[in-house]
Amino acid sequence: MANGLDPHTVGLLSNMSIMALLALSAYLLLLVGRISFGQQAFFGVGAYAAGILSSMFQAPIVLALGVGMAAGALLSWLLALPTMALSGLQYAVATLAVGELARIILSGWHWQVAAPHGWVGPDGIDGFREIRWLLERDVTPAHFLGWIACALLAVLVLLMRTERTRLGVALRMTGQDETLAATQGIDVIRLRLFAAAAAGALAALGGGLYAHRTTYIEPALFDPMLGVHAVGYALLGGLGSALGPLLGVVFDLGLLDATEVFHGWRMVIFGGLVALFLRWRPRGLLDERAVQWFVQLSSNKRS
Amino acid sequence: MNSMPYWISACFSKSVQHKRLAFALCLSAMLPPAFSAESGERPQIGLQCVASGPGPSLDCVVDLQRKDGSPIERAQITLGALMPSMPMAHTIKPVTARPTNQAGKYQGTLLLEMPGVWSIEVDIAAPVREKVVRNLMVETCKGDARCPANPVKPGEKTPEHGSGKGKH
Amino acid sequence: MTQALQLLIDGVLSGGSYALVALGLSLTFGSLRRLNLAYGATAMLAAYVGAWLHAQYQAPVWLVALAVVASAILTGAYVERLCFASPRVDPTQSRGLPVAGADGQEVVALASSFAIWMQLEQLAVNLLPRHLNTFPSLAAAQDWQLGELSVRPDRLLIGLAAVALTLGLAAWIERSRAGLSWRATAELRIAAHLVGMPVARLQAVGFACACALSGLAAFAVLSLDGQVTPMFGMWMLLKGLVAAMLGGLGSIRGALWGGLVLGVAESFSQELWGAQGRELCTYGLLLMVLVLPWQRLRRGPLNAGFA
Repeated sequence: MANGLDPHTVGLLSNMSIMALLALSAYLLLLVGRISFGQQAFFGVGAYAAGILSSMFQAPIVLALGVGMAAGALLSWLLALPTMALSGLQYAVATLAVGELARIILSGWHWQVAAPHGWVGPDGIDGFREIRWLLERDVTPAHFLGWIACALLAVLVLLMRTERTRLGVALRMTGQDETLAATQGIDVIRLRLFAAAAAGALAALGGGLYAHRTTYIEPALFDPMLGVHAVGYALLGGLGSALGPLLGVVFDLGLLDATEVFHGWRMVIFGGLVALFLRWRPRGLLDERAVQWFVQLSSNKRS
Repeated sequence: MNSMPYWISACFSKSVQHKRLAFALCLSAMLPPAFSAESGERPQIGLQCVASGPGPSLDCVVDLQRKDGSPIERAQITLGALMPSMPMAHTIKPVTARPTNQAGKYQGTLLLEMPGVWSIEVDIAAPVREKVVRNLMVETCKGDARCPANPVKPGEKTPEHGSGKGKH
Repeated sequence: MTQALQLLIDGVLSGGSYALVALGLSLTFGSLRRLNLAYGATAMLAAYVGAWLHAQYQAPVWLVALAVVASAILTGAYVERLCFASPRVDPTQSRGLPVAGADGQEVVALASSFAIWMQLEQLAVNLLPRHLNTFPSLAAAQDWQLGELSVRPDRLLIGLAAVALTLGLAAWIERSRAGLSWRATAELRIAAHLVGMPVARLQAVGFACACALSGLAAFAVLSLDGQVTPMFGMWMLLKGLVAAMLGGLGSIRGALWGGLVLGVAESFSQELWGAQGRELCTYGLLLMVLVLPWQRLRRGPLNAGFA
């Protein structure tokens, strides 16, 4: 089966899955009513942390990804502490600043250790080369795609399961109307901090997977356009379900980018669609109503 | 009313257990490679690329040698490209580098979308598994000329705006 | 000592450019209470049109300047129609919007303006695919020397223009009838509508002015550089945002102060900690302005009206 997929498809599917994780991270914050343009910072932190652990400390990849997620969650939570009390607009600008700050700090960070084939580690603006964990264990790109897909599936299942719980309902309530949610006894700020931490973990997971896939990361990759795209995918795909951001990613990377028809006009179409949707269908393609419709359809079929 | 305890109790309910089983299976699929040892020695990889025409298109020659200098034959090499400033913005179709009449040298042509700094990925699947990424400055060459794409340090990419340093 | 003075002068002079860049953004927020994230991209597209004219038809400098300002106004009209035009939705109806805030619409406008940002950037890059594009250069050949200090005359000119524009605009808004009606629509839109003011038209005119200023700022900055790259949009937005927020978003004189503070801070931090230290200082300042409780000291940055 792995032989049937050509490198282009494998690369495309891997990119889509990784971007889906980043889009889900932006989605979590949109769910609680906050726009964040800085998720690429935690993507970068996760990438560097996972890369450091697997190439400088020879840790197994699961541990490296796990530590990356923990680092992303912790950093996101710490940065959310002073900023969560701001208004939506101020918070968005603050996340933009945070994203750039993270990129600049990574550009100036040098930490290299001696390895059998030379120095390995983050080298400031030159980036972090030689993340060779997959190469050393002879894991093919198709095999790694399987792992990425597993991770994405696990995240999707977790998010969709949480929707049905009190926590999921509370998260949605906070995003829809925070004053009403507060009157119901929900601690809005604490819930938002939790969402920020979870979003940081998701972005960091995506980053860690990306670092291992490409074996080379540099700070220039984590620029605001990446975070802006993530928010765009979540807004376009829909905020009704965790499948929404995935839909947005498939639409952009799958349809717009892969086909020759829209060559060179991808962002024009994508940006235009997001703006139009925000005017007439603010919750995106797969909004709450669409999800309800699907649920009713499936329950009608059953009965 | 704190919503946390209800969520934690939901974790232990039956409906979640078979999902966790699936997750555990995924995890166990990752384990065997985690314990396999490092395989083989690393080859020396040389990359020379020349840009030509509109697009521009990039003709790359990969030079594959073992540590002792002997060329590696019958290698499966895939060339890919991505733009560091917009990593997932341009998907360039990866091309297979074909063997040339010189031993150890493989040639492939990448069709890029715009000039600038590109990260060229050389992905070797056989006989050894290896991947290197080189940053090259790709310029549009006028007419039929062919301009070499030189390696560039990522730091020296763009002149700063507002610095007022005119072109003169 | 002279080195510190030189740094100060350099900082103040570059602050003039930043003030010009921040002016349009601050004006948009002041008149519409909306942050326009497509600001940098609008200016970049306009600059690219100017560079294209210069490259294809060898247009003279004055024509390029005119084209840049005109394109900025036209692009701004498109952005305004799509993102900031008064919605027919009841502003108290926050249900259904992706983000609810103090005024639910402000973040929706923010979100759609970032979508247009992506769109305009790609349009600009499609127009001129090269990485470095020449722009008519008006850079001075040599600096003026005042004893041991050197002053760049081109920067000085831009700084003076920024001061004149800022103070003139602020005075006009405060003293003239048109300015009064503008302020009325900004502060109490519904009341202004009730007394018969053409609110939508006034806001459109305000937005067009802000875009014209952004085109002017882009021309000024790029004519010193002599070239324009695809990174210009992001640069203009981020620097403009920091400078505007430092002085109080919405405040016109604040744009001047913010630009000056930013310029001086950057000048000194670059000397002390290099280029990366300078960037750290810029975003650190922005974060501090947002996070620290300025409301207790004076009217908060995002609550300032035209001042």
